[in-house]
Amino acid sequence: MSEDLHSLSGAYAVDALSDQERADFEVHLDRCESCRDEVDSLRAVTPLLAETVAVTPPPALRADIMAAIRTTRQDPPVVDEPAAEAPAVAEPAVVEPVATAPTEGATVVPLRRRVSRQWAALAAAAALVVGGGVTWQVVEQVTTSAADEVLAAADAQSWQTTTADGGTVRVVRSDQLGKAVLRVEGLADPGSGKAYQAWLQDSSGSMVPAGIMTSTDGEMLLEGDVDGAAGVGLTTEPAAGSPQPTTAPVALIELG
Amino acid sequence: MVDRAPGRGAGEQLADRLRQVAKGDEDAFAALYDETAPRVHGLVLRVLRNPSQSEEVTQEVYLEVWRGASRFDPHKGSAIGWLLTMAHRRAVDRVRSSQSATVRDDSWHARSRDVAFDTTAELATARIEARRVRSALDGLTQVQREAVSLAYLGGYTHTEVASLLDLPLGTAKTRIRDGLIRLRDQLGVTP
Repeated sequence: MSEDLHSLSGAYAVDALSDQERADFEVHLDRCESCRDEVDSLRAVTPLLAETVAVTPPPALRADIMAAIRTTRQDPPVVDEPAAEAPAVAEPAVVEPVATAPTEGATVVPLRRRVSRQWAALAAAAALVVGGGVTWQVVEQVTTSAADEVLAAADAQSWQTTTADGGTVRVVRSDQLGKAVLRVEGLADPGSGKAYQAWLQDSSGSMVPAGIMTSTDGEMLLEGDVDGAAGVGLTTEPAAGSPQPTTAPVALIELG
Repeated sequence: MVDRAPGRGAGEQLADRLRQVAKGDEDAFAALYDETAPRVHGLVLRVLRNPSQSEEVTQEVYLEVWRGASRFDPHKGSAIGWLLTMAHRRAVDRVRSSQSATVRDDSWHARSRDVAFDTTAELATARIEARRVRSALDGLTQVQREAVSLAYLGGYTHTEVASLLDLPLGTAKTRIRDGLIRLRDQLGVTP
């Protein structure tokens, strides 16, 4: 969601994004002028922050650097190359027309009879096709789950993390559908009378229940307001679930 | 003290030096180094903590400046901003490579001690500026100040900052942004 991307401008300005987040944010920057302006203004703060930690390097470093530049070639400036000269157009070959003389004595079939024969064949084929259509026409009924719709959505985004016991937790969200799916693999057994509960974390940090995951390998559609969610968490809770997390999260995923 | 041409700001003077460096002027490069090395090296050292690695990265940064000076575009920001962006990126990349992660001192409190200053006269202007910036930092909330410091001076990602400060997901990035906005406004910074 674009609102969350806007809030990354400060972190981007001080290089506090992961490589993937940086790539995503730079795509956003290309089409968001207000973020470009904000990043420029916030980035201008960084030289002042550097003033607070200034440390003069050893003199030997200066000597090393000055020696190194004498053997380092500089890159040329980037310039636009002029368009390449168009190649000369090849001379078209002269093709001698081939004269076709009518063949003496060829038997000419009357047009009327030939057309009649063709249409008779076409009519017969059409009858077969129509007959077949009537016989075999079946509309296949396929039920697609909401979770599958999210996973197959053109705008689906996914985030993944690994749990302490080696399991995988993945969130796939479709902004167009306004839904998200939680998929887990290889989680540890939560224990007797317990289950994994999913949470949506809003921008203020509060956790809202988002459903119970009934298996250690599977997927579920997250309940609640996915559009407003800043993160997804997963905890071990009593089998019927809790109104608030009662254990440390098994996984926390921040949605970008 | 660097001899400043009358009527030209320090930023413009640095941009001029970069233009000279792009033409292969070694004296201009030496002057650029002398004006900027304390900030570049200090920033890199703060992120990496390790002195020898910091010197390696500082050298890499200046060789990149020498090599790519022609790519500096004054319309996209200040010369010092361009330089520090490269320095910060290289330091952060060094940290994020798996090999050097174990070398790093992860104690936030150990790093919050003030760094001793060089007491030579050449840094007198820098010290005055640093005092002004520290005063502005004191005007932030504690969470904003720590989030900005960890992100920029510590070289952490915003999710790492959230973990270090025990903040909920998403909160660290908003505190970083809020903190930078307040600093920008208090210090009267223009890009």
